[in-house]
Amino acid sequence: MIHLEWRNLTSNRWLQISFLLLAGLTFLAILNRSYHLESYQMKIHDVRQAQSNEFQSFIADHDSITAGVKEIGNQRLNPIFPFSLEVRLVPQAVFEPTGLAPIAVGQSDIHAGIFPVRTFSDPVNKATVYYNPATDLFGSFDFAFVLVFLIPLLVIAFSYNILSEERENGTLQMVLSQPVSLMAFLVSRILFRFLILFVALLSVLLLSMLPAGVSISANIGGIAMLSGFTALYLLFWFGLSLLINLFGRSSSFNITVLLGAWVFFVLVIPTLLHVTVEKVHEVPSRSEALVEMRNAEEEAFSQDRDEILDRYFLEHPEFIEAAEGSTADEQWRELYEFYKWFYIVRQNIAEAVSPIVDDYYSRLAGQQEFARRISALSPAVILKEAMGGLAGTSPAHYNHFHVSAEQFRLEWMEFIRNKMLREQFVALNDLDALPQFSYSPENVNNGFSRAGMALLFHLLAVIVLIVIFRKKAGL
Amino acid sequence: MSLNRFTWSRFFKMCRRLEMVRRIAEKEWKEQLREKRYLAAGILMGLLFITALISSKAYYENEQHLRLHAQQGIEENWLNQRDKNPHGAAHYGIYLFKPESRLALIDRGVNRYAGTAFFVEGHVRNEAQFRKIEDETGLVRFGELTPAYILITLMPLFIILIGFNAFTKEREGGTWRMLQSHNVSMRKVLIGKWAGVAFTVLMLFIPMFIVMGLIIYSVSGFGEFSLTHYMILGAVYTLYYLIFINLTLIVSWFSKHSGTAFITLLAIWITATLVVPKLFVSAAQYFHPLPDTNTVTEMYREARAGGIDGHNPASARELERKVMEEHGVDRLEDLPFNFAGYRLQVGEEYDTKAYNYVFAHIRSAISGQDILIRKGSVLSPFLPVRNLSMGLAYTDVENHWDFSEAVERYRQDFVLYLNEDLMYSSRTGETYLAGSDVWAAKPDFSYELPGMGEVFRAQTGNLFILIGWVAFSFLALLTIRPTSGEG
Repeated sequence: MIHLEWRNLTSNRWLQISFLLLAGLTFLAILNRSYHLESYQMKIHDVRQAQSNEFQSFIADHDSITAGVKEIGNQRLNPIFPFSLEVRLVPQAVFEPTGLAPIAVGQSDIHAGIFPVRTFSDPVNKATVYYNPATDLFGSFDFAFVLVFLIPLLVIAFSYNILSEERENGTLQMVLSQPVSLMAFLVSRILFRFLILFVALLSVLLLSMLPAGVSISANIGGIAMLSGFTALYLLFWFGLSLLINLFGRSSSFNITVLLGAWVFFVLVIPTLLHVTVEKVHEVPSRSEALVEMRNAEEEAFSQDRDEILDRYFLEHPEFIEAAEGSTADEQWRELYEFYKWFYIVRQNIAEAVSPIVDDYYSRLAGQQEFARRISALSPAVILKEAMGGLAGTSPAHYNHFHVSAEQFRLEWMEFIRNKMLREQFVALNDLDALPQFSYSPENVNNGFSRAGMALLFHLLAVIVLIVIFRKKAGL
Repeated sequence: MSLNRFTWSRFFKMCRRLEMVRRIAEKEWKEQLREKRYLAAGILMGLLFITALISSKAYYENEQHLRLHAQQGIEENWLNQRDKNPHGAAHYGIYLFKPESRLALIDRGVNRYAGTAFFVEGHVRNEAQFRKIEDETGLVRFGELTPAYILITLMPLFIILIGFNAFTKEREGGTWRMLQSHNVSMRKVLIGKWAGVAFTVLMLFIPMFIVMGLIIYSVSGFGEFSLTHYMILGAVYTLYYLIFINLTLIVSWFSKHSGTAFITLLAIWITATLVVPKLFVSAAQYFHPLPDTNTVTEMYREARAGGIDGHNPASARELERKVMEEHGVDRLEDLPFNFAGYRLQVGEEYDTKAYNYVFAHIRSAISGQDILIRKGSVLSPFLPVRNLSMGLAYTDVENHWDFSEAVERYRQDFVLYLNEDLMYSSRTGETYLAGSDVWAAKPDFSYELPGMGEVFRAQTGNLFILIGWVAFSFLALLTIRPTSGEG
């Protein structure tokens, strides 16, 4: 029977053509994204190179100045003065996707992956990036699109008439005369088709990863997970097809219902979910936050300087003691005095706006969590989100990245401020203690187990319906 | 045959001929109504459309409210700022928020993907910030539920659903031979079927379009709402539907089975609306990559090199000498104005020039992308229609750049105003703090949407391609050989 099935499928030229087309598209999608990933990694490399050059020249300057062989005109930029750190050693926040980044664009086309962290950066304004809104609107072509949108159509084309065809061709009697039950026949037929498609798809995927430079051994865990999600997704669509076939209607009826289901799960539900998320979990407007921040800034800078300093040192007497041990001479003292005020004001601003900033980021995370929860309604959304998670380009990853960058900004500012308030000079061994920006996609909760459960749930629901309708259909 | 001679007999003959077509159309339409699937699909479309309209309206009003509120807040920020050097105020700057045209209710276009806040400050031209998409979950990437989404993306599916088996069902039901044996002209059958499908589509589209028009009319907002403009938008959608009706009937004619016809049509639909746009976007990003921030900074640095830096007196020694010579004075303090303000303004002009250079570079990469994407229109009727729809709703990329240029012109006025205040309210070397009167008298920003003529000029390319598609599809439909109907 399997032999017959195989002959049946291989003789269908339309299926062959559409499969080859999808294989080509998969190949193209993976190569396209890996090209972008490569040029992104080159940028990371350049930025790190530039940073290391800055660092070297900073150390060289520091050496020659402390040795007294070099003088610098602008004392604020003198490497021994803490302010020079933030000007000369601008840290960079660098986003890193996972090794499977070529499978899904996610939000990587929207956000800047690399940006300089400056102490005065606006905490809710994500870094400047030059963009073309039109390309972002249509979206880039990636494997997630092929798998989530196109493959179900192939599944449907592959299986919409597994029963109705037999009836329409008059071969149903022949099948019934065989020693297997019709149900067993249909299930084995569906599973056989699933296996063919799944193995073929996986092979195409792995084959396109080779020239794309995606290491299979290094990403074996992710690939296994992706295969699992894909299998569940394909089985869901095959199951749906079997279910519709059990109704015993015509092929034409089956296909309209199945494609209707496709439109429903892939196009309609996601847009309705989006509207719901927007309505239920609105993210606070950043322009409102902006106004608040500008107010805080104006207020902090317009207060009396001495008053600010007095109040601050009353609360932080440790800095007065620390500054007493300073080796700075009168000229430096003056500079330190100004910058003490400057960094205290900065700190006051940061503290004044931190509730707004925290609220913004936590509500953003809340929105993403809510979206993930209600996404369980559509297998298409679950799979797409899970693929973004595997690629390390999901909204949750970027949220984590931005929060890390903001935390790092505060740490970086605190480091310089502490040096300034203690009236300390920058020593070479301080450079080892500089706060380092760190971001790792591993720290993000991807909710893979929940995605797997949700996909499984959809599949089980279809299986339960099949069992129910099987009885009704008397098979 | 001379057409201008009217005879009753010829008139009746024509009526009889039309009568046949009308009957087929009527039969087709009645069958569609009887089919519960189609009725359900039509009702679903209607419900989705209403949901889209309601949520679009709520979104639009909320955005408008937030924008006005924020703009007012920024205005108050500006007026209540402490007394300071006017150039300090130029660094403090203001924000301008982009208003949405009320037609954005139909098609939000790129609005979610383009920045809405423009930071207007001295020395720097900023790209629009606060893109809505930055605060989104991945859901919006599936599509945004707007009236345009229903009308452009989903409506063709409805057309496919009601027309895919127009001919295959006759073939499968065996009525095909009957029609032939009754000597009914196949062309009449074709026209009748066409009219039947078109009638259903219009019966769904026209009420939707009227309701949408009324809602837009009732919404107060930015931008004129003219009936002509709206009717043209309606005509664009209708032409688009004609293309899909024709394609559907052609495929149905040539397919042996209804199932094959449906799959083929769906493949055409998904290619046109999703695959082609995405493939062309990917190609555009590959062939015309946009410069990243570091490249842009580097370009700016190069373009800026050697010019006068408004903040660095050392870079303006030559200028000092020239200005003092012109005014016949020996010391900057003796000039009738504050040289610091003058230097800042000269420096600003260097900044502007450098930014013009940099932005021209970025924009040319972007327009390279847009031109390439537009080439996809040859393979997809969806693209010209989507572009036309966004263009007519003032939500396309061109409109975004238009606003962005208006902001840049304003930025130059704004900085000039502040630098001139420093120049003429004080002398070189004096400490001068400007106050609320200076803040209050800053130039006003105003922006007018481009007129209809301008929009049409920008859209002629898309319009031509759309008409090309209509003509092509009609031609293909009419060249179906009536005798080949046996299949």
